[in-house]
Amino acid sequence: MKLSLGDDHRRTSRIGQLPMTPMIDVVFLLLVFFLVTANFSAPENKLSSALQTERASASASDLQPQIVEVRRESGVPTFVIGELRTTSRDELAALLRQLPKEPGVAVRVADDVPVSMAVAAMQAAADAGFEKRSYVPAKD
Amino acid sequence: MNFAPPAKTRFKIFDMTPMIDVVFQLIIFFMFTSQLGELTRTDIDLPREKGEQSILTDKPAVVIDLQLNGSLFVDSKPVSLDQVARLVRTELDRAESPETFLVHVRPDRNAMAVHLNDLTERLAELGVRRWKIGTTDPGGVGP
Repeated sequence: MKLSLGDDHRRTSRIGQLPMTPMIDVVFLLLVFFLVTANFSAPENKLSSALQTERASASASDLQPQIVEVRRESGVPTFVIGELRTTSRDELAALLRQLPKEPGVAVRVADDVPVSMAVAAMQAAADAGFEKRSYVPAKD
Repeated sequence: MNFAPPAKTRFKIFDMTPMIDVVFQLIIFFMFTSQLGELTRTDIDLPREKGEQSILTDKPAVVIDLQLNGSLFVDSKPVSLDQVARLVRTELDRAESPETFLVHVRPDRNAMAVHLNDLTERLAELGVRRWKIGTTDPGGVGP
């Protein structure tokens, strides 16, 4: 014979049943969202500089700052400052540290060197403390 | 026997579940759409340099991807140098001043500089003075 279990039991079960389904739905949705939007690639950095050209739009005085040339010599991409030559970025940074920072530095990049060498020269200038850095495409 | 009417509390409970569901869906939607700008970038082997320590707060008006073979992409779509020039000119006209106008170039590290030179020369002709190069953390790997 089934008898009433009493108010106490029903009240307990009504209060005790917390619906978990919607919460699990939401948690799974959030999990899927963050998995989809997560960026597993390396974070990007930035290296800023001014742009200059060697044509008429740039006055001669624009190229007065110290010039780092990035060009190929004997088949090897080389950094050239005046008479000094190096293929090492660290040596380039050391050379640049000795130069006065006020005039700034222009990085003149030949067409036949890899972009990584050009960017390495820009980075060396930044590491050496140059605030004014210009990129000058060298057209033969 | 219990003939008492159902507990009044049943009618007093305001069901929050659908509202929470909808709110979470909206949050997810807006978070997802706000990330789309990052997701549309082309996968490029960027130069492995640490970049600048100072945080650049300026948001670039145009982001140009330069692939290994010299092809250009804007928003993951292949574009010619002339199309890039038109886009930059349009954005430059919209900019408050050329001094605040910023272009972000993401070059492949192994691409020949001739492609970057062509692009930068064209940008300079258009009046762009400020640009930045995308790099990636070297993680101990040197050139």
